[in-house]
Amino acid sequence: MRRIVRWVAIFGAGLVGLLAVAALVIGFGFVPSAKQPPYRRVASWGGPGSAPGQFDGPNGIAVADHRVYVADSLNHRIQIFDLQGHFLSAIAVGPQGLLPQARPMNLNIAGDKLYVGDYWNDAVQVFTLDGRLLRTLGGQQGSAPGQFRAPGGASAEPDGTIAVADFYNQRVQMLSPQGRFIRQIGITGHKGYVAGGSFNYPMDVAVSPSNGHVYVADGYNDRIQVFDRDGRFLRMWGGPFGLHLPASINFLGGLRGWFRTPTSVAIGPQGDVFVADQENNRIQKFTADGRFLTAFDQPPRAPGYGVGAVAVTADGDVYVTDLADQHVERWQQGMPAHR
Amino acid sequence: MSSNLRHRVLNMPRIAFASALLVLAMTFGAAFPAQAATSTPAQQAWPADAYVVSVDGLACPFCAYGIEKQFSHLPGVTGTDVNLASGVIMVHVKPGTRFDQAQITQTVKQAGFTLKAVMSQPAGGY
Repeated sequence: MRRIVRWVAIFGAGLVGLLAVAALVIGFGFVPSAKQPPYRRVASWGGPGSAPGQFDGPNGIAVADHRVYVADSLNHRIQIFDLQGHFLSAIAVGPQGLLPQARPMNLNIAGDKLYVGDYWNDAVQVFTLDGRLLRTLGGQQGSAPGQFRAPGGASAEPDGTIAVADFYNQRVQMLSPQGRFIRQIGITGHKGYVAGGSFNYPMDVAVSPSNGHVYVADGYNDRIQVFDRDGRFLRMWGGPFGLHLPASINFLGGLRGWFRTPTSVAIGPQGDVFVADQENNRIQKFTADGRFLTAFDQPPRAPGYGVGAVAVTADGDVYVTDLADQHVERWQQGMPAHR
Repeated sequence: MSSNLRHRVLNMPRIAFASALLVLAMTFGAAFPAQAATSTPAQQAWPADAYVVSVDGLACPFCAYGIEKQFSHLPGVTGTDVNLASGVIMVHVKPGTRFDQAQITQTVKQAGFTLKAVMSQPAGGY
């Protein structure tokens, strides 16, 4: 009997503690309300397979110049579509294409170039928007300046300086357009959970074309970090003050404005920030300084993650890859579900 | 890197079956705990057609590809199947290939994970 009373007391104390935490979280404004209407899915295409228009692991996406580029990771190619999803062409493995066994992950377009993080070959490749290879950086696994360990994504400053999310090296590298090391953010090989400028497996970078600010999807820290073009830390968000919470207690990670493994980040035409919040199966939209605007999702039909990567057109349409259903979705704000 | 690596991430029946076997093995003590094996001085190696490796923290494609990549660097590995949901990796090897616990523990660690258990699949399969 005494044991039962003790367990009831422990359970009650735990419940009170949880309620207190929830009250603090909500009371301190850590759960923002939506400031914009949600987006609606207006189209999708794809499906599992290796034929043109099918996917096996669409882990990256970028849009520009009326074309959609999809990293079809396990098919070792990048597929190119028009904005309606009609297949146009593909960048395949080859002397003037991707490296052997390529595993392209996040894609980013800066200016007139496509930046590809090749996770398998420890390389960053730069292509024209027509798919012509311009440059391959790295290509040998390592931790020295200019080398990579599984780069998750890369993009570029307006002056051509390349930023690379160097996943296993726990850093973001800044390189000249020719690949010469300029600087890095983070300590090589050292996971940091608290301070801005330290990472826990950075997965993607996006660069604001207006001011050159670098946005980093700090994957397992469940946050976004922002740096100026000189690498100085500006801000971070995702949960209370952007501080990493261990997964065991990040039970609130599904709240608005919080994350569970942000895998991809993109900048919209107004400078807004779109984040693929993978384990929450949703896209979240923020202002450039991290204020929550809205979120949208649609559960996948197949088991797995409904969100892989995100990209935004100049018109504000949002394209999302769905890893579970192996397809690409197009979302628009405030539009009817079907048209 | 062998060119015929098989890349399948989710819901492979063989992996599901192997996962069930692994759970059973863990339940009945057939699989060895990682800590105990790493402290075994002999560092015994087992020949197998495949190794079924269970890890903590396997969550996203970045994880899956990372651990697949690390195992591909081991001599004799012909392919890997990763099941994100169960955290189980099936590592296919050439006949006669032998790995010991330390090699597998180190490979898993380099990929950023913690080994929970490993068992070998004998020649002939299940």
